[in-house]
Amino acid sequence: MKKETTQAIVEGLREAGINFVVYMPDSFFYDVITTIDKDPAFTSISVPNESVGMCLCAGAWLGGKKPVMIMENTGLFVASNALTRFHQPFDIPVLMLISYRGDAGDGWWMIIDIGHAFEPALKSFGITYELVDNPDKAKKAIQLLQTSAEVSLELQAVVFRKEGQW
Amino acid sequence: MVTRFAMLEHLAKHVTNELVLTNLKGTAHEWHYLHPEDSNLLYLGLGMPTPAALGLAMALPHRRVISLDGDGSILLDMASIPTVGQAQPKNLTVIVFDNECYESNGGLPTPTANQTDLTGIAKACGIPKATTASSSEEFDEAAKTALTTDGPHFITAKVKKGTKNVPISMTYGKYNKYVFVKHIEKTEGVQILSSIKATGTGYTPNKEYFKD
Repeated sequence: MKKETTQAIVEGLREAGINFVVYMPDSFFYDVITTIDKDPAFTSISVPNESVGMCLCAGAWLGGKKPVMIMENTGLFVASNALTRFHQPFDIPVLMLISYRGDAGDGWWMIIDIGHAFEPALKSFGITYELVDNPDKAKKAIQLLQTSAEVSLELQAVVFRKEGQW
Repeated sequence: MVTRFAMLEHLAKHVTNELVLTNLKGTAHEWHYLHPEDSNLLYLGLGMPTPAALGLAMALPHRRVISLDGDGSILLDMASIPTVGQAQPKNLTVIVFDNECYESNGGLPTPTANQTDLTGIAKACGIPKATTASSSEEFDEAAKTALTTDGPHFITAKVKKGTKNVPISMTYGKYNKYVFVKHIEKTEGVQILSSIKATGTGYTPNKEYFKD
């Protein structure tokens, strides 16, 4: 990831009041994760899958934290049971930062079909999302969607496109 | 082998202000019948009570949190167990009522009916204070220890099939969550809901709200 994008994401999270970070290790977010792990402003933890991660975020929100889940878009499908049987029926908001694998220009054959399924899945789950392709937009989108999450008690996703950032 | 209800009766004697998250159906109904408090969040789906309880325990490290899970539930997503082992929350107790079957949908066996040992898994995942309780007395002692000493604690409570005929607890998640969150707000002095207020020019964070 470009250095300015990493900086914009971390600043955006801090300024949005995010203080609890759960992540499934992901190559796109590697620099963000390692920066956050060293930053005392955040409580951070890695998880073995995104379903556990989203439930952990839900518990943290119930305890008064402002959580974010950082993951690759394949994780949306791993977490789908929790999203539709926990977060949505109980109205528990969590901001997600998601890397858009399978986006135009992604060079890995195995991830192309995830790319096809990803945005339709977000829409079918009723998750509000914002596509981001530059650092300035990243910071703004994080702040806006965190506000939306707190007001609506709904899931929100900032999606990082490949173009201009990897 | 004893009933889950009998073990929950023992747990209810030891619980004071702990926050309790439960899995579906029988466990939720029996627990809420024995301990009908706003500190209960009931009816979490398979694989969800323990990771949610971990997040809550991490958010409120001074407050004891209990996950009332089941064998079918925790087996659905065992990734929660090493995550507890990694986080090492001193204030978390995971109690898995292991009836060795998927009782709520007919009673077909789970792997714990054969070789799978949840306590062994928990210990191997870095939770040394993991124990199996097969009698009321063993469970009572384990629960008492878990709620008076540092954790994380993991109790596999071996129970026989069956749900006590108790009144069905309130199971509408949005309302239950609202009551639970208001309880946390009140007892912890934090604001979780309504943290944003509408203004003429957009939204203002809650810190500003309290300055008005």
